Amino acid sequence: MKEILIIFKKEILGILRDKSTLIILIIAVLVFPIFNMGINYLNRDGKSEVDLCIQYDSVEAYKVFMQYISEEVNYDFKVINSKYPEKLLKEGSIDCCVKLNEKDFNFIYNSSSLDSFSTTTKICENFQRFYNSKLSEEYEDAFQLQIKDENDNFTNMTNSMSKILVPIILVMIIFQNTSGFANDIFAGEKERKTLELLFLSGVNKKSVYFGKALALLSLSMINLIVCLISYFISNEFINSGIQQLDFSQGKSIISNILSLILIMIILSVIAVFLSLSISMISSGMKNAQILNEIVLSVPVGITVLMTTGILKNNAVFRYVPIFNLITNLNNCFAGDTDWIGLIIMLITNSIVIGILLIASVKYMKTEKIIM
Amino acid sequence: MIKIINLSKKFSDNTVIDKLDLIVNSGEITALVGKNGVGKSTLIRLIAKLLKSDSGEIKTEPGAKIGVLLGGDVSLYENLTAFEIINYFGELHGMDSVSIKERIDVLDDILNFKSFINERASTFSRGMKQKIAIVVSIIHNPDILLLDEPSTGLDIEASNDVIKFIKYLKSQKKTILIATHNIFEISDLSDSIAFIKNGKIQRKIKTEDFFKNCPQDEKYAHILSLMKGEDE
Repeated sequence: MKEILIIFKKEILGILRDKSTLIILIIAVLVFPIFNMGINYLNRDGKSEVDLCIQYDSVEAYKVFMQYISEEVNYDFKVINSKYPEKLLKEGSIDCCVKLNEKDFNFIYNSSSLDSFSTTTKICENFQRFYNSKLSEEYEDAFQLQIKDENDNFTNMTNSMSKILVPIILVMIIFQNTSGFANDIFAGEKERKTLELLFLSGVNKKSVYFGKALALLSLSMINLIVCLISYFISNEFINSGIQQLDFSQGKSIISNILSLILIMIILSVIAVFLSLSISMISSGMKNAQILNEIVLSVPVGITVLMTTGILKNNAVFRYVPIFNLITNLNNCFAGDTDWIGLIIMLITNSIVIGILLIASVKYMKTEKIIM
Repeated sequence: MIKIINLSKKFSDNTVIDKLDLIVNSGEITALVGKNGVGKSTLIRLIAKLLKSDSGEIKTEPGAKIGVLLGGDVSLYENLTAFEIINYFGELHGMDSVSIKERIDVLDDILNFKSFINERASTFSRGMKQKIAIVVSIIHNPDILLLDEPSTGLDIEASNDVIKFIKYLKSQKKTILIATHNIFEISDLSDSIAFIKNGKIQRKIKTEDFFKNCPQDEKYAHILSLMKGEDE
């Protein structure tokens, strides 16, 4: 145990001082803020002319609203009169319906249309602040701003895009960054012959393996924590203008977040032992990098196929390691955590981790490890 | 003492060590001499347990500690300082921080490396790296030393460090097996010479007897003539 801790300490020190570690962690921090900014950009600047239906009871409110859209919003608006604006929204004939009453305003949109969604987002963004500043003091804060979605099946295009891309990005970051850390751990040491130097000290080979695995696991967890925090924060703040990823459909938000964390931990552990095994059998850094790219493209590929729906969900996948990880990840983002599925995932993937661990320890005992 | 009996090692179909027998006596330096590729480095790695033999035995005194210094390009952990590297190997040998520091003081008198002990290995010259590699190999005060061409490719200053290091070990009465092409290490430092060819020890002879009546400037030729004779 003492040897394991000595090796662990040294590995952590060495990797943290490596410049590439910093780059890897910066990628983990920045990827979701950049992704969310991209989604925002796509939503807000997609259209220059929109069709609006405005209904009003209060003339004062109507005047203020027209002043608002001419001064604050850069769209060209075409106002369409209709008694049944909701129908027009569903048909896609208009982008947004605004109902201006004495006490409340209703913004009605159709989330299945990206144009409708982005137009409404744009209008709502600064309207409350603007309206409050224009109305006389007695009316201040007297109204309610209401946004209603006319889309019956609740599919929101932005959310759908996020739900497809976020799991893929998460899986890619976890595997890519973990393999980035792992390449140097065995393959790099073999290349520089420091692994030989280490074995010459008479240290137990099992201790070497577990010390290095523990270090890689810790770094992978740091990578995961950084990545998840960045994801949640950027989703909350950068993405605040548009509808958030809805974790809470059907199940409580806590259970969905917990299951997401559990899935990501299992994914990270698999990435650790897989990339560590590749690093062990590779003769140098380049070999390890190529092998890692090939092997790790499998789980990323499965994620792409399953998340985009190209590979239809099959009941058998529930029992197949890696596949059930991705199934559960997708369930989680659909707000539908399946706890029994999670337990099956935990058991089957633990078996894979155990097999990798036993095979690696056996390989460590052979002299191939220094060749 | 190192006692090697009937040792064999194959890589695929290539027999590198072939039923080799050798005894390195306690407190003696034995120079292992032979052409490149005859199995010197493999023998050192087998004794150091880096490789597993196919058959045969390697015996040392029970509890004897082994230190190894490999030649060629010296590799260290580039992101660690010299102290962190030495401390790492000291800890792996079960030493506490006090005894590591005491040992560093002793070895600094011979190799003079404390001036750069807190610098990272990535900034070291080859000579500096060699000094730290030497310190690492004997930080735990081993009883047996295995040196694989320790001065190959070194400049004069670094070669001098290696010689100082071997002389220090000799004064400490350590058991040493040194694979070398260096005539000074063979003629002036070793107590006996073992000639190796085709994975077998062809002859082991006292250095004193081998170079008896041989002028200083003909020592290389003397070794070469013997190696050539063995070839024939």
